Amino acid sequence: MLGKLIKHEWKGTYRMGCLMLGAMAVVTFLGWLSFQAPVWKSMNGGSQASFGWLDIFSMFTVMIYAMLLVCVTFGIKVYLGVRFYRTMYTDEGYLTHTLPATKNQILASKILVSGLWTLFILLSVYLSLFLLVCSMVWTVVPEGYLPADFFSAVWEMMGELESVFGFSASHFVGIWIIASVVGAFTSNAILFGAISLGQLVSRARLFMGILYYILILVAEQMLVSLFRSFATNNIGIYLNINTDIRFLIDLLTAAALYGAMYFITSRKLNLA
Amino acid sequence: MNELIEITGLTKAYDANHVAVNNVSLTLPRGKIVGLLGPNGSGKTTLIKMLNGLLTPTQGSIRIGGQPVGVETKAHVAYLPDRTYLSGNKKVTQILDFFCDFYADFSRERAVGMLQSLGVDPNARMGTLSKGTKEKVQLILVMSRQADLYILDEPIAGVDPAARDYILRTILNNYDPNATVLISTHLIGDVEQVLDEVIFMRYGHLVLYTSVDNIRERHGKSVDAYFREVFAC
Amino acid sequence: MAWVLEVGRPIYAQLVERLQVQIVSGAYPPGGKLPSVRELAAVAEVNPNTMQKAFAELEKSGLIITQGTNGRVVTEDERLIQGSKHQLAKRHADAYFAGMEGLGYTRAQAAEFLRAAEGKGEAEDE
Repeated sequence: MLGKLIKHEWKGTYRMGCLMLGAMAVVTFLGWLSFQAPVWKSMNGGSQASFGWLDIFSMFTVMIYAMLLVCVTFGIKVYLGVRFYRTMYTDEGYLTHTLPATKNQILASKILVSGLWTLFILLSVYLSLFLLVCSMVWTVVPEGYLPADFFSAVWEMMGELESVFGFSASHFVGIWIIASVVGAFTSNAILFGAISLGQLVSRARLFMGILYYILILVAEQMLVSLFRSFATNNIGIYLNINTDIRFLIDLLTAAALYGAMYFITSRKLNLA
Repeated sequence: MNELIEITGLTKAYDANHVAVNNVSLTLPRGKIVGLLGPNGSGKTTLIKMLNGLLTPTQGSIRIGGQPVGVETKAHVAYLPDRTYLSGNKKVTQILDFFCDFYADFSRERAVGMLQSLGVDPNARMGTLSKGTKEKVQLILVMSRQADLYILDEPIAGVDPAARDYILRTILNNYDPNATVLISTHLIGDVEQVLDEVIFMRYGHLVLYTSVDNIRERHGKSVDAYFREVFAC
Repeated sequence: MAWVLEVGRPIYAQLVERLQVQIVSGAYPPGGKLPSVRELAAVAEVNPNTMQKAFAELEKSGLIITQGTNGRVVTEDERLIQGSKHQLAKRHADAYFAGMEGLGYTRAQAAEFLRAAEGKGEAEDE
């Protein structure tokens, strides 16, 4: 049953997910294009090229690139949240909740598929940024300098941090990768959990769900700052602890909200 | 096993002042078409939601085919809610795929046959169909299942006489002597002929559960007329 | 076409009468096959169990016979059919007299009235 639920959840989100990924490709191309403008070439101190309309345009496109990137990452979140709300707590919920499936199966299928799309979008954002940095490095820095050199320089810098401040670069990168992958799923569990909490009130349920979501994010942030404050005397440990604690709190919040969501859908369901 | 639904002491209280279903006990056999009748707000829909697992009872129990409401009963209960629960941007064939996957008792053949006779294009998106056609498509989906229990919540409310006839004919054409059909409505006269038995509800209470011909024999009037008498203000 | 039924009487009894009329009038000829309960219920737009009950009633009277898997047929016993016809006719007569008595006529007056009406009918026919 879980397999079927996942299959249909995937089918249901396929079009929008692909559209978002397509948008990322366009956005990335736009970003790459903007670094082809003459103004960036002139930045490495070579020729004194004139500052033409094309350059102004390229400044704009860089800004638009950044904006679109935010839009896509935010957009997928909104889309997945709205879809969850629609299929679970509006008229479509009458179908969802009368399927011969357990609440765990229904919730798991939604979190898994949404998590997968979030992960894909995240990866596409990373890829896009990587490509952008490549194209920028290529254009701006002196000839003979390759993007690979740039990235190895970044890695060396992190190594230096390690020796100076007691910061563990491999630990940092490791947690960052794990948090990116796992976080794609936990972030959706938290979003869906908050929307589900909204069902406990009698009116303006969607609004309350969004409000709960914001409150949960703020509370999470406060918890992170609280725990982090124990390790502020050392910048390296601070950086490590920051990512660790954030990851841990994310996991715990997601688990707690999953439990709440399970309880709400199986005992407190009350569709309008 | 002839008993299909066993309800004992069923109560649903939304809050202290609002008891939608109040201590209802009822046993329904297989092979009957039963009308669930009562004025608006008498607890019909709340009872139906509990039978489908969309609401958790405050007290009491429900057994369908000997099982408590859950995954097992949902596989054998075909439910037509009083609203459109299908996403507008899905094609009719996609919805058929969906039902095929989730309900082992769904007959695609039967559904396609009924859709054809209704003249619905399987490639049409649900959103492009008229409200009446959407309702009929939902009915077809529900009646294309070989379920033990069909629960139809207000299937004829707000439809024209031709649509009403279509709906009743569809129910009768798919009648299965091992299954029971529970039809909730406040338009009794329109469905009276197709019912075996009727359940009267008022203020969340079960008022009466008897056969249609019983009422006609004993009171010399239609269920509709009798209902008006019982519920006269 | 849904069968039009009276509101104040049990549905199954009305179905029995409808079927009796169809049999004695020859719409379902002696020895002829009857539609299935399900088909007839769908045509009449009545509950199949009620139709079943009506069929059972007719079976009890011998007017229709179940032939295993073959379905149901009308009896070939003309006497039974005629008997049923008689019964229906008597019911019409009773209803007529009851109506006339309601208007204040005696049975004899009602019968006289009937004969006069019939004579007129014949006269008009000629």
